[in-house]
Amino acid sequence: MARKLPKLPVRSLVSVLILLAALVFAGHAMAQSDDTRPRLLFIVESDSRLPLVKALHVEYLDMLRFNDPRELELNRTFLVERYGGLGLDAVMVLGAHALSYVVANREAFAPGAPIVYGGFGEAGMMTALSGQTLPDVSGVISPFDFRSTLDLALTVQPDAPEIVVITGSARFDRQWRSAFTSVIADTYRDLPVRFLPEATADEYLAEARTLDPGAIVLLLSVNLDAEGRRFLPVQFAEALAEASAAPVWSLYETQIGKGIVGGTVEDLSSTGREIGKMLRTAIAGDPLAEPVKVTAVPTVDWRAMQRHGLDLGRLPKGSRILFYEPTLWEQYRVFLIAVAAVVAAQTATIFGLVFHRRRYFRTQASLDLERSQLIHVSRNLRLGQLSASLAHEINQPLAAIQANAEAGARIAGRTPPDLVEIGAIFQDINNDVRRAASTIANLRRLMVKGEVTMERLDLNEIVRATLALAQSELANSGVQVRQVLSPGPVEVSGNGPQLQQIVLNLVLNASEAMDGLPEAAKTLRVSTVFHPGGAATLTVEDAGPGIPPDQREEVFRPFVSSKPLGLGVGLAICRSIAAAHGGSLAFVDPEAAGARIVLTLPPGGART
Amino acid sequence: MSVVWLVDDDAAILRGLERLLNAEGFVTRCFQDAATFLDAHDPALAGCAVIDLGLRESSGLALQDRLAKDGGGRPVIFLTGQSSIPTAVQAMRAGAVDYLTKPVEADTLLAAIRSALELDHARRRQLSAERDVRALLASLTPRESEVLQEIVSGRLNKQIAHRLGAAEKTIKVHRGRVMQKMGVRSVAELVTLMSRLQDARSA
Repeated sequence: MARKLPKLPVRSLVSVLILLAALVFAGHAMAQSDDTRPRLLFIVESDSRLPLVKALHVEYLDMLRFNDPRELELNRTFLVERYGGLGLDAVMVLGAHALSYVVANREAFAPGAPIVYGGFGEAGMMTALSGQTLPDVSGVISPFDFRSTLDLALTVQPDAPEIVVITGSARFDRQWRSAFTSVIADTYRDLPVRFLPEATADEYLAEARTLDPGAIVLLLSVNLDAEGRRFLPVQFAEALAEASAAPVWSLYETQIGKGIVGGTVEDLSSTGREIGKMLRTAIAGDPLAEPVKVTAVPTVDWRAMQRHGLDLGRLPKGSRILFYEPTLWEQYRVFLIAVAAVVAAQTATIFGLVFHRRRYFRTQASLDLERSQLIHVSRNLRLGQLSASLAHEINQPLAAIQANAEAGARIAGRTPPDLVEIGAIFQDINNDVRRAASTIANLRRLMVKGEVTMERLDLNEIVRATLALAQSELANSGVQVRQVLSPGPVEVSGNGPQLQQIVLNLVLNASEAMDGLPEAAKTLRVSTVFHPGGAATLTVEDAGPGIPPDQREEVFRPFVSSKPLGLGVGLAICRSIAAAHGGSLAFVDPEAAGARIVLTLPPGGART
Repeated sequence: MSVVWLVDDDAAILRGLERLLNAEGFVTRCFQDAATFLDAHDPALAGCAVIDLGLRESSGLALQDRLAKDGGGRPVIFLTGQSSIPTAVQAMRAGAVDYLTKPVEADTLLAAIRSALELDHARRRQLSAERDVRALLASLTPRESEVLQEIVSGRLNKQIAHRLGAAEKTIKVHRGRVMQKMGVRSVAELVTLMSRLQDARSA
């Protein structure tokens, strides 16, 4: 209910009361025919600027302005003329003076009609009825209690230097002054109390501006200022709250929301509910209950509290906080949690993907590295296999050089030395040095480790260099090699050592495949073809037992080896090298017996 | 005059070795493969063979087999590029006089060749001595040969007569003929001569 209050278009005590009373009534009234509808008269002490529901009879006595006996008599005549014959079922009175007036004149315009009252406090009761209890007169007594409001203010502002009290110059306002000063003199709970003397509205506001921001301002009521300007108390409250440097406290709930910080005030919705209940009883003709005292509730305006930097945490338990603007978090908590969850999930997903991607790249990089290491290891294994024959390849020229050098030394020692022979010896030594150097260069090209670079190469040169390296090994195994190389260079783009590795593997595999054959049958054919499209093929054929068609893929699987000591990675690595060159490596149907494997490299070489 | 037979499939090495040996005064004959060498080989000529076992050990060892069979016991020095103990053992067991790893110091090779030639020389001397004894033995009659075996076995005339079923006087005559034909004056000399033959046979 509290939350809904600010949404009401009209905020005034009366309108709320009447609306509520009407609502309580509605169900009851509509069930009856026109003739039996209850007749109600609302008599309002104040003026008609308070908007009221039209369905009811409402009269505004405007007693604050027109309160001399002649005016009151005029009103009485009017009421008698207008309502005397209607047979009112009940009269609802707002205001203490109005109540005393109605009680005095009821028999003239509403004979026998019960009176329900509201809109004033204990003091008003004393004014109106002088403590009497009358039959058919009851209502709701509002708690206008400055002490409890001051207590609330002191709780919220424990360090306040003083209490400043303001009230106006109207009769009503002055009643507040006397009510207050009769209870509180110079101090309240050891705090100095300063009752501002009657002044003009502007003077009040000017004074309020200069106040210590920590002070407590208690606004009682200003209907009229010292120079005769009239106000609705709520108008003045709004102006004062805006001007004041210190928090302004009030006794009326209607003023909370206009800049007033708060007060211990009645909850108008419950007041209205009580009045409504009592009216129903009155209309039904049942005896009215005892007057109901509405309890005051500590109530604050959250916005005003914020403006003055007051701590909500100091409010007593059970306080009402009006105009609370929930933070985004409070207002949309579920939504925000959902959004946060979605964002978190997305973030997690993104991080997950990023992490996965990074791990993928890392794995890829390490795989590349491992593959290149594996390629290298596999190549070294193959070279290790060749080591004996390679050592021989280097040893032969060294042996020749040594023999020549020894012979040369002896020939040179003779008289006369055979210079022609010595010249021939030096020539031979030179040739043998070149021979050894080229073997080493060949070997080093194949053993190079590190960055794998792609360059333009002649596949024929690759074949020749590789066969030169393997030559001794092949000869030792009794294998006859036939090179059928494409005339002219076969240009490919690739990595020399890796391509040589393929050739070496294929050639040595072919040689090993023919191990059991008689020497005459051990023939190996290596051919290159440069195709018109630019693609190049290298074919290695042997005369061995061959590979059955259903095994031709199997042999490329890692760790599959037909050799007792084979690691089984050679062909797998060769194929991966071929793939890295954008090419392929596969066994095809042989022309005769034996195996035939073809390396195809794409036109213009490959990607890196 | 001794000949050093050089066999190596590497022409450069062959030429280098040939130069070295020629410079040292050896007569050489060079071959690049086993078949050509075997065709040209004359067991009657004194000398030794220096053979590169080559890459194909089987061919080197096979060549050694052939030489042992038909080569008249030609001393063989093996050169190898890749020394391996099993190969070396096999080569030595088959009668190689040396097994050298290339590249080989000239002095080592020359010393090996010289000792191989000496061996060949000694072998040839013995062979010729053997041939002489056999020629003398061939001049004996069957009866004289029988008597020779008995004498070498250390029997007396009386025992020999008894074993061969002849008169002691007849055996005495045969004995004189044997000693005369074999060109020895004492039984001791005869035994020495015969034992040389025995050695040659068992060698």
